[in-house]
Amino acid sequence: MRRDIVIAVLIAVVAVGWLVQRIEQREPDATGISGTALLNAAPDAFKRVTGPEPLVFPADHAMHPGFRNEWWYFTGNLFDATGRRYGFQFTLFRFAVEPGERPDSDFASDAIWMAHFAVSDVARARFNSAERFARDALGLAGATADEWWLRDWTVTRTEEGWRLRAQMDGASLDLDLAPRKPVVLQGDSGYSRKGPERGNASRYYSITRMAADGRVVLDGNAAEVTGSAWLDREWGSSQLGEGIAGWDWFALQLDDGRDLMLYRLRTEAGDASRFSAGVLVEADGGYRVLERDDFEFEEIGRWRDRLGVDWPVAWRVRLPGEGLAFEVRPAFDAQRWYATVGYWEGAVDVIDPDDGRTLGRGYLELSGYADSDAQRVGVR
Amino acid sequence: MLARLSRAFFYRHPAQVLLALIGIAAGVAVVTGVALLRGALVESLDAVSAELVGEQALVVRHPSGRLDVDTYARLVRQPGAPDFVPVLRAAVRSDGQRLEVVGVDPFSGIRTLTGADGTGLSTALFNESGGIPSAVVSASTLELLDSGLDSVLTLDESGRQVRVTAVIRGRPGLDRRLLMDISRAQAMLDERGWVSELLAPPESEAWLRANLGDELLLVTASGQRASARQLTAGMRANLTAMSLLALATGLFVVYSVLSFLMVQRRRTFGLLRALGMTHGRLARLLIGEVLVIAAFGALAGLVASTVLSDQLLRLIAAPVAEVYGQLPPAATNPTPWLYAGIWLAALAAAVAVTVPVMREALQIPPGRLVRSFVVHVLPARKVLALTVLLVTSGAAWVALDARLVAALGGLFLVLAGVIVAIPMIGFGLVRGLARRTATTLPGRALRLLETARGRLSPALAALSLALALAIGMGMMILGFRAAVGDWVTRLLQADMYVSLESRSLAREQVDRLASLEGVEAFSSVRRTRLADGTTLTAYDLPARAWSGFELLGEAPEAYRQFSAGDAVLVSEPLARRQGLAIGDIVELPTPEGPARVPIAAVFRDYSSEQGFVAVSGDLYRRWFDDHAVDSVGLYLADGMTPAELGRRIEGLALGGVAQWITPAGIRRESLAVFDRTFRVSWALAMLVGLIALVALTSALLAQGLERSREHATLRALGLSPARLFGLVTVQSAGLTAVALATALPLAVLIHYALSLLIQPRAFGWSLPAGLPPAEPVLWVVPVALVLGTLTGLYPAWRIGRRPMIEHLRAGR
Repeated sequence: MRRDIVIAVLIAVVAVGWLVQRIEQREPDATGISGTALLNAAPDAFKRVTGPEPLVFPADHAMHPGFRNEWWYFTGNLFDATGRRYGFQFTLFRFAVEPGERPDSDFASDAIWMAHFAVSDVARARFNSAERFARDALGLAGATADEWWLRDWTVTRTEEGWRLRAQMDGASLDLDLAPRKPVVLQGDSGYSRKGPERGNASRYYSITRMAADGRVVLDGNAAEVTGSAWLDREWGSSQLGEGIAGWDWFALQLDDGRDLMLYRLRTEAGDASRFSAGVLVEADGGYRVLERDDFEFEEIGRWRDRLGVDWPVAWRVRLPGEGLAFEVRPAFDAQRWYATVGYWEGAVDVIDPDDGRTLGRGYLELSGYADSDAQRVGVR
Repeated sequence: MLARLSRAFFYRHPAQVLLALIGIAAGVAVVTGVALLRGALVESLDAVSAELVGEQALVVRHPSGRLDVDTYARLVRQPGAPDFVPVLRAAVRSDGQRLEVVGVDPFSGIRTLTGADGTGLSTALFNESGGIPSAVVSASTLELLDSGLDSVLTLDESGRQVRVTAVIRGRPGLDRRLLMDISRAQAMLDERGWVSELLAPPESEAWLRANLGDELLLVTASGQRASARQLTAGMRANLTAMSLLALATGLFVVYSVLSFLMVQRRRTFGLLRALGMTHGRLARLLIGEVLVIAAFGALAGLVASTVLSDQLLRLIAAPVAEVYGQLPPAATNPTPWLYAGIWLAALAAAVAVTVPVMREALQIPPGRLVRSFVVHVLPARKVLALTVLLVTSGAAWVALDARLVAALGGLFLVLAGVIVAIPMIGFGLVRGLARRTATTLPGRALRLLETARGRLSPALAALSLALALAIGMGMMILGFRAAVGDWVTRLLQADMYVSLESRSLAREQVDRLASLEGVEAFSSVRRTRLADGTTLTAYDLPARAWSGFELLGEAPEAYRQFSAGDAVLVSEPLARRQGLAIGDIVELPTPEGPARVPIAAVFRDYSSEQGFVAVSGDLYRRWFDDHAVDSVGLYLADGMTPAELGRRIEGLALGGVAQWITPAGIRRESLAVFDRTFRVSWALAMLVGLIALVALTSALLAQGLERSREHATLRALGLSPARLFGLVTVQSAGLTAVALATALPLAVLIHYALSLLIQPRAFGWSLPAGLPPAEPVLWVVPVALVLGTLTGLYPAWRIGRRPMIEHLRAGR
């Protein structure tokens, strides 16, 4: 009897097992891509940035074909009439496809564009973000001296500066941006070395302070806003070089009129690479390039995201040569991108460690922390 | 103790247990298989947009079926525009299988799709090697093509190749599709400048309605699914009807097997009752047994159905693509709910058919040790009354309700009514036969049958129904086939037809063909699917080709009105579907807004179920400014042959691969498509027939066992085992003959019901009424007689082999 039951159960198990394997499984989730890896290497066919070259404006506001990657990067802090604060980020990335023969098609493309748009609602600690892609074809995306766009997200050049317009589910932004300081050429006249090899460098310029004036709409509620924004422009191929795991990048606007950009290129061991650098821009627009030994970072607070990744969102920063020492703390913690590239980019406060006074505001970018972790947001 | 009792009994009767298992498994298999097929024909038909964007995806199309890329580029940059997914689609073949190239932009608003190994779509599509474009393909499609990851698929005819760089699972809507980057697809298909459609997320509906303009059409997901559902309604109704018949026949088997097992155990039950077993415990014992058998049988049925449905899907893939222009998935897509639901339903049905058997068991008085008992037969008066009731209500339903469901339901009722009467008629025939051969062995054998009427009635009715169905369907299919053959012959008036492989002919190419030496006249056809789903066919016809249209009803002015572009023609299926008649106005979406034109005539057509509107070429070009045509018909001068002209056409260098075919060739191909379309019907009819034969076997076994005492007496009176064997074989052959005799009139009824009621209601076309073809009778009768006789062999062997003495003992 027992033998019969065993046989019957075995037959049933085999049959049920067969049926279960026939019920098809959905495909697995994709793994994210590494932002760092995109910048570490590039095929030889791409042009390299190998030394200083004069930059000409507005021509150099346009894209630079032939390089592997390029971006147009706005960040800023805004306030409405009631003092309510918003952070914003608007970025266009262009990733060139390896040179070669292209198919005879309207969709043949030399590059893929990616745009990131985020609005941080500080009062409600809500991070609204949207990602877009487009191929470099049919005018879907592009950057000329006068306009940078991906579909209907546009930045157009105006007499004063630029007008930025973008919208996503639940948020939109329409801002006039007027530079208050001249262009800062990072590194050696815009030649920003980031690694030991020839070609481990980018062309890099910034406008570190722009008056922002316009409208934010959040969940259907419009608010007139003013504030201060920052523009970073960078292009190159294989700029990071081997052994770099990520970076921590600060763009800070101090209330005394100075602006400070600092980045630490993190080695896989977790140290600051010797190519870490920065710039201190005076209120009058004069600036001084900073090298690694000119500043010190110390992590003072971490935030764990819902995927279990820890992000060092609070820092102690010291520039002994300038007599500057302050803390950088996030306006709120959860300003993390769960997108094709996982990174943290958010509005921060500059705080006097002695009395807790706010010395300024800015943006912090943390990259390379999620690449090896359990990021589960798909590459399309 | 009871479990051991059941086990011991089943061990002694493995054949019966096997029969019961087969009966349940076969019924479950057909029902599940058809449910899976129905899913494939509704949910996954044209589900590309749902798989690429989401269940509620919106589709933007141009009335011409092609959308130029500039329109896309203009739309996509407008403020507030959704993240459109541009799609380029084209039918191709590989390894003889119908496939579709689906070119998409992986950097648009497409949903996240990843390969089985986690490779992202864009990574997979841009992973090229050796200049061969990449494609992402579903696992079931690869199985169909007998290929794997990294294999290179060669597209038939053109020899173009794609490499499989990722395999996706669980997206049946992408089965039979080669997902490619749109730039590679455009280049490969030479479609620069065009896309097929734009997909958009459902939340963009308001924006699209406000911004698309008049020229573009918006199709919602629900609209798309409804049209797929409507498209295949006829085929699905056909499948469902067959599956229900199969289930009913399967339940007959279960019933007769269980009642047989019951007969065998009357003595045991009598003993158990005498030993104090209550009704409740006996009922629990029987239900437990049935549940165990049903559980295993249904499980086997589920496995069999999955294999069966995948095979049937392959059978119908080609006709679905040919007839409906849609690609079904490569494999069916079962869900745990479907499996669980059918399994439980099978258990419930098995218990339900056991109820009469159980009632019989519970009526056994304690200590009753006799096996035989009489199954009560309804008196003839009651049978007749029931038959009349069922037949008249079925007929009334058909007459009063014009829907397909009424035709099917009405036919079911009528058949049910006739089936109720079949045992009465059948055993009347048996009696008659027995009287004529009273003194012979067959005569005696048949008389014995009469005594087991109650036991054999369900099997006889099931067999008769299955045979009637096979013959009736065969008649309908052959009659229909002849009608289609006549229609094609009449339609094709030209001497040869020319087209270009996978592209249309430009006006200049048509002119070059028409001006060839030896061509007297020409016709041309352009077929387009309009934005609202209507198919429009534009004809340029010489006067003599007009007789190709078989007009239904009087329409003397039709040719003049049609040629002048004052009116259109509609095919019969469209007219039936939309209730259109001569003189009615049809509204067609054109780039210049809706055009309203009267109908000049309705014509017979078997080419599409949803039907189409025929317009003159001039009117079509005025509306759509499209001067291309799909094919050209050439009328040859005396002395010119198609073969000779074909050689000249090949020398023309038309800028594409020219194909030509004669009307005889088209007729051959059309009938081949027709035959493929009805393969499923044949396969299912065959299954129903087989299940009916299983029913017959089990009924004969039951009857044999009940009559064991008579058989033993016959042996004791000198009947040799060989003669007894002959006796039982004669019984099974006789029963089959009687089933055939009752099946024939029923078959004719089914033939006319299918041809004159179901076909027009399911597919929209009528068939010329005529005498039913006789061939199916000639095929089915001998096969049924042979199989029916063979079916009797096992029971005959069992009965002949039993020890005589045991059965002669009193009371057994």
